[in-house]
Order: sequence, then structure tokens, then C-alpha cells
Amino acid sequence: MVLYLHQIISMGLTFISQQERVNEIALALSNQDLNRVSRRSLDLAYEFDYSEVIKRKALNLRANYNLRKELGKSGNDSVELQNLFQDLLKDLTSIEKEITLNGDIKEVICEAKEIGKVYTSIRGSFTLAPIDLTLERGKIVGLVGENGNGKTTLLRVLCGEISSSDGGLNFYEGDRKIDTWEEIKENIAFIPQRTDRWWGTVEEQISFGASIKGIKGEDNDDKTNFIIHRLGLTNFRFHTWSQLSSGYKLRVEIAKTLVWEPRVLILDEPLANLDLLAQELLLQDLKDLANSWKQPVSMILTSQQLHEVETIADQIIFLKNGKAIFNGGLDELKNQDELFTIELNGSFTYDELDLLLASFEVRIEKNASGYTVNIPNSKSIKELQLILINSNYELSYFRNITNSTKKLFSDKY
Amino acid sequence: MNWILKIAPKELKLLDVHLRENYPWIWATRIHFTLYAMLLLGSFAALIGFITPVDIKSPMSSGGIMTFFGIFMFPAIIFMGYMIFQLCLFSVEKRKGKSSFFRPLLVFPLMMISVLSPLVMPFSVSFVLNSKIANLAPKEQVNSDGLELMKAKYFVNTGKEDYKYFATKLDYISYWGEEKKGAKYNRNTQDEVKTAIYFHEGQYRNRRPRLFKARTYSSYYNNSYFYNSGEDSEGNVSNSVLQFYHDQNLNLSLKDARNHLEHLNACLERYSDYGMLHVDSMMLELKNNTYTNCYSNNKMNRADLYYDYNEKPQKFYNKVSRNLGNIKRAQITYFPKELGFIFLGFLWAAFIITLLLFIFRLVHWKQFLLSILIIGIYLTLIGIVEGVGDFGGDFFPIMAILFIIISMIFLNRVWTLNKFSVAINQMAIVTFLSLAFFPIMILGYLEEVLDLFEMSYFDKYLVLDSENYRPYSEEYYEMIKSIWFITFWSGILFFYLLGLPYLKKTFLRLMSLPKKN
Repeated sequence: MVLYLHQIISMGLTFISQQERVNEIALALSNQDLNRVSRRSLDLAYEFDYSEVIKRKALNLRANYNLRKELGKSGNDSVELQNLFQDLLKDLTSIEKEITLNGDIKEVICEAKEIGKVYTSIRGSFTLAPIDLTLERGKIVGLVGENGNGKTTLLRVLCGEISSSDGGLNFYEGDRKIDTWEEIKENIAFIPQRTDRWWGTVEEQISFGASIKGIKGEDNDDKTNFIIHRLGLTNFRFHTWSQLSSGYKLRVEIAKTLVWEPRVLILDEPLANLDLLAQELLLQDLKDLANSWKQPVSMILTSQQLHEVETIADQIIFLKNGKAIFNGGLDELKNQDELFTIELNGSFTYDELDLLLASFEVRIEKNASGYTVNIPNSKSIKELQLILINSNYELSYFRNITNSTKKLFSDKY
Repeated sequence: MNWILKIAPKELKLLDVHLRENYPWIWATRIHFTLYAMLLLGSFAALIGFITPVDIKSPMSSGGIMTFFGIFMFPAIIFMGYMIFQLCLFSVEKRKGKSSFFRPLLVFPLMMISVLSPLVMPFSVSFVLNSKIANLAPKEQVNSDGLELMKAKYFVNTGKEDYKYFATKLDYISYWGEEKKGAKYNRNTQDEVKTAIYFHEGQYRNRRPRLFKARTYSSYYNNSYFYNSGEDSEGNVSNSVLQFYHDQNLNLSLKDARNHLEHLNACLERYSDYGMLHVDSMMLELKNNTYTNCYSNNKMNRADLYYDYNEKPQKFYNKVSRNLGNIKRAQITYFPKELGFIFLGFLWAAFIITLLLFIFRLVHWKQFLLSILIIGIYLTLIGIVEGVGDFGGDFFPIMAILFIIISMIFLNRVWTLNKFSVAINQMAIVTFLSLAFFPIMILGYLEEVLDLFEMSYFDKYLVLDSENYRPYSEEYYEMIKSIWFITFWSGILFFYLLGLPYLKKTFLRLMSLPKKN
């Protein structure tokens, strides 16, 4: 975002051009990734407030792409569609567009200071140790950790569903602190892991969700169409709750929420019921939404899919036994100890691997999917890779998790 | 209600989208679908009414219409349940939508209409049937036939209770004057008549006594025409009929008798399929001055199947009178009178259902069920204490009112709360449920327990020399009635105008607060 910012600071306003988006679309188009092209074209057309004709064109093309998918075609192999997207790209680039950045990009939306929660019941007690959290505009915070370590509890405290036992939670709108929970909740959307049943059709739910938040008339129609096509719900707009798979139910929940443009989106295990492709797509969408220039959404989400969450999160909180054993950016994680942590697997046995890496001062842990190897950072990872490649064993998996919270699952932490 | 969209015209679909996009709070009441569905189902019910045959010789009574009403009540009740379900589906409040303070003033009646609308079905079939019956004969003809028929009754013996014995004309005239003051018919009259016949037989051998046709409330009330047409007050009986009876009592006119008996036969032909009465034989009886249990005692008007001598003319008269009454009733009302009470009952049921629905849209369903449980347990407990203890009926109302007052007082704490409170939420529900009826409950308590309206202030309304059993003046009772009326409706109005918006705001506040767990 910063790379392509064409900023003209004038009278305190920040202007941004469409060039970054255009380049991204052009790249995706050259790679025939029409799914990406259709989504980002739509984003661009709406974000930079193009003419109704161009908006409609982007919307129709996205709908067209979605419909082709419903018919069992990938969408990417349609030359006709590619040409139409080329046309659209021309339209999008033919006009110089700028938008005014709405507010400060570093604006703090939510600030939690030492918030904790203590549950006591006859079956036992649970304590969520005090945690600090600052959520900036358009940033994504990932909450990770094993089951039963307080992720959902922390989310529920943050969205005001349950009260905290300690600490304070403040929400801001610009410089103004929001005082009442009524107003706070007008700005926050929480999507729990198990969502409630809803009635009517997908379109009705989304349109109703927008209109009760004050988005009326043509604007309502426009936003409903945008979100339906953007989130790939074109073929499901007249479906009811019982006709949708759990993955699409989640998409509808997100659509119902995003249509009224909340400032904070809190998601509990959004990836839990999704297949790999759907996970990838959803994370991309979430990242795109957070990076929106016009209406960036700040997000907090929990997930067990560490790698996936880490790819989109700006900040990770790792919870273990109710305590945040890590809270910060992933680059901070690297500096926490003097070890590289590698996950690997191959045709070798535990003993053979131990023998192979005897020259390193390694500690090898065996786990279900392979081995976790810790080497001192005085050694380089390239050295390790060379030893493995030059051996007679076949290497099937290698991943450096030094910068991943995954290593925090180890008992060492 | 997607099934309705499938059969809806384009305009309704457009309206649905328009409401959803612009007026979601109206859309959520499903009023447009409800009204459309009711238009279809109401039309279907009306069609059934149209194709149901109605015969002038046997027009359906209000009871018959009520049967149709009852049949259509089954689908109406099922649809009402469906509407209640529909009203629970979309909550602007639970989805934290924007809402103005006074919006409930519009939403509440719309919800009530949605709940009530299924009644269109039974009412439309009743209305159509009623209209068809009303149009069986012109109004003017029915009115004149009815009036003449009531006069004809003087010449048709329809039972001993129609007669009263007076020893002399002077006694009768004196009674006429007394009756005007409001004296009511009593059952002993029958015995008086019987005794009178034997008494006279003893005194005037071979001459029958002169009996007078009673002109009492009862004699009119028992007239089928009068009864069926719904004219249920003595004041509505035409003075001309009263005067006619009086004149005939004093001076029987055989010419009038023939005219009226012939008119009765004309009516029998028009409004019944029973056949005719033999006018000449009836005239003969009149001339011979024959009376009860002998009246119409001749072969022409006697049928073997009839138990008593006078049954045939009585039965014929009653039949035509009842049929005419049914037509008349249909002409003066749109529905049988009973339906008015049924509608009122449903109106109040819809009010209570809407209240519950309103709460349901503002609180979690578990909280809603909890409140019903709490109220149920509390009322049971105080009921038991009332029953076991010797409180003379005072304990229950005091504790019930106290419960509401405490709820109202503590409810204000909602504005200083930082966390959701189950207790305050329950108090809000209790207040919401009872606020509309709170003034009338207080008044009821003051009257029943503290005898408010018998306190010394009201002594000025005492009427000590009244012959009436009621010790207070009419003005007093009118005033008490007005106080009840005003208290009741002001409670409803206060709740609707202020309580409803305020309590909604209270619930929204509670809904937004974080819970403990």
C-alpha cells in the first residue's frame, strides 16, 4: 500500500491514485487468474467511485465469472471473458482516479489494556491473563493457540459480548472515545464459529442487514449486489439457509456484516469449516478488505490454521493456558530465542536423521507429520538444506517455522 | 414467506424490494405479504360464501353463519400461528439496526394487524353470507312485513303466556298505565289465565271470558321476528304495535283480523315453504271468542302430527317470523352480533400476542422463557399463600402489584449499569408486560380491597329514599363506569405512547451490555 501511495498532502487530506490496483489486476490478467481479476476490478471500480457504467460492467463480469463456475467451468479458460476483462481494464485505466483517504491510516480503533477474564464454576476455573492489544485501522490481528486456551473468550470480551474481569477496553472514532456500548456495537461485527439460523434468502438477509444500518434505496441495491458478487454468492443469492453448505453460510455471514461497513470485524475460527481453496479465497478477501483504501476494516480472528493466518495477520497473539506467550508482529518472533526451528520430513528414519545432522547441535522432535528440528542460529539454514539435499535420502517436506507461532506449540514454550 | 412471492404480482415483488431497501422495520412486520395472502384467502372464503345457496324460504340464521365462521377459524388460527412465527424472524433490534425513539408507535400496530389479519377469512365468508341474506328481499318490504307480522300475532294464538286476565276493562286499562312504567312479565300469568277461565266459566256459563293480549316485554321478545332481527331492547319495539295491541284488547276488529291473517298467509307464501293457514276457520274462532288451548281447534288448521291444537298456526307463524327476522338482522348488521364479541376478544388476544412478540424481538429467547417461568412461579407462590393464609383475598393483589412496582423502580438502574443484569432484564420484561394494565390493576385493587368508591366522599351520591335496590344515584354509577373506562384506556394509551418507546430503549441498552459469562 505504501509502495504505491501517490500522496499529495494538501490541506491535511491524503489522496491516493488507482495505479496499485490497476497493476495488480494487470498482473493477475496476464496470469489468467480471472477470479482475482474479477474481484479486484470490482473493488477498484467501487473504491474509486467510477462511473455507473464501469461499475455495472465490473459487477456483470464478476457475476458472469461466478455463473460460469456454477456451470462447472473454471472461468479462467474463457477467452471471451478474458477479452471482456481486458476491455474493463482499459476502461479502468482510461480515467485518472484519486480518492481521498478517509481519516488517518494509523488511526487506533480499539485499545485493550490488560484485559483479563476469570471464570469460576463448580467444574473448575479458567483465567485469561491480562492482555494488551492495540488495533489500528485496516490491521489484522490473529489469535492463535490450542483449544481451550482462551481465544474465543478474548474475542467475546473484545466485542462486548462478555465483560472483562480486569483492565479496560476503549474504542475510538478519530480522536473521540466512544462511551456507550450501544454505539460501540454499532461499529463492531462479531461472527461466531457457530452462527445462528437465519430466514429468508441470502439476498434478503444482506439487503435487510444494510437497510437497518441506514443504507437505503439505490445505495442499498448497489451495495447488496456488490457484496453478493464480490464474495462469490451470485449463484446463491436466492438460496435459503438450509440450501447452503457451511462454507457458504460463513460467506453469507461475512456478507451480511460487511455490507454495512463495520469498522471492526471479529471472526471466531472462520476457516474451521472451509476446504483448502475456500480458506485461501476467504483469507485473500479478508486481506483485501482490510487493505481497502476507502473503507478499511480492522479485523481480529482466531484460527487453528497458523500458517494461513500468519500470511495475512499484522499481529499475532499466541495464547497458552490463558496467557499471551507471544504478542506482536511475526518479525519480533524471530528474535525471541537463538534458534532456527525447521519442520522437515523425508525417506529417513529418526535415527538416520539424527546421524545425518550430527555435525549440528540439533534437537530433533518427532511428530505425526515429520520432525521438528531446532538448530542454533550460529548455523545457517542453507547449510542444513545442503546436507539434506546431498544425502541419499529424498526430502519430501521442508519448512522454516522460526518466524511462525507454530513453534510456540512446543512444550519448550 | 417466499411462497407468496412465487404467486405474487410484479407490483408486490417491487413493493417487497422497496420496503426492504427503504423501510426495513415495516418489511420485518411482513405486513405486505400478510395483506396479500389475506386478500387471496379472504377472497377464497368470500367465494365459498358466494357459492353457498341462500333461500328466502329458509334464510340462514346467525347460528348458521357462525358455523361457517367456525369452520374458517381453523385455517385462520393456523395462519395466525404462522404469522406469529414470521414476526419472529427478522428483528431490527437484535441485528443492532438504527431505530428512532418513536418508531415502535408504528411498528406495534403493524404487528398487531399482521397477527389479526388471518381473521379476514372467517369474517369475509360471514360478511358475504350476511350480505346475501340481506339481499333476499328489499329492506322496505322486510320492514313493513315485519311490522304487520307483529300485529298479526295478536290474532294467532301462540301460547298461554301471551294472555293476561283482567276482571274488568278498567283493571286492564289501569294495568296498561302501570306497564308503561316498566313492570315486567312474570310466569304466574299463565296460572292466572287458567284460573280465570274456570272462574269465568263458573260465573258466566257458556260464555268465555274476555282475555287480554299481554303487551309485555316478554311477548315481544319471544316473537321470532323481533328476537332474530337482533332488536333486543323493549325500546326498539314499535310503538305502533303496542298501540295496535291495546286497541284490539279494548275493541277487537274482525276486519283488521282478516287483513292481518291474510297478510300472514302472504308472508307464509313469500318467506316459508310451510303452506297456508285457513283464514276462515281462524276468523270463526275469533268470532266465537275461543281462547287458549281451544284456539284453532278445528280440522282446517289441525294436523295429526301436532301435539297440541294450536301448534300448527303457532309453528307456521314462528317459522315465517323467524325467517323474516333472519333477513331483517342481516339487513341491519354486517355480521351476526356474536362476531363483534369474538372480534373484540381477538383484538385483545392480538394485543397481548404483539406485546409478547415485541419482547421476544428485544430479548434473548432464554430470557423470555425465564421471565414466563419467574412470573408463573411467583404468582403460584403468592396464590398458595393467599389460599393457605387468611388474608381475605388481599394478599395476592398486593403482592402482584408490589412485584410490578419494584420492577419499575429498579428498572431505572439500567442507565448506570456496566454489565448486563439478568435481574434488571427480568424486571424490564415484567414492566413491559404489565405497564398497559397497571393503572386498571391499581384501580381494581383500590376498589376491591379498600372499597374506594364507597368512601365518604361519594356519600353525596347516596339516594336514601330510592325504591331501587341500588343505594346510589344513576349519576354515581355513570361516573364509576367512566372512571373505569378512562383509567383502562389511559393505561393503554400511556403504555403505547410513552411506555413502549421508553421500554424499547431500555431493552436496547440491556441488549448492548456485556454479559458476565
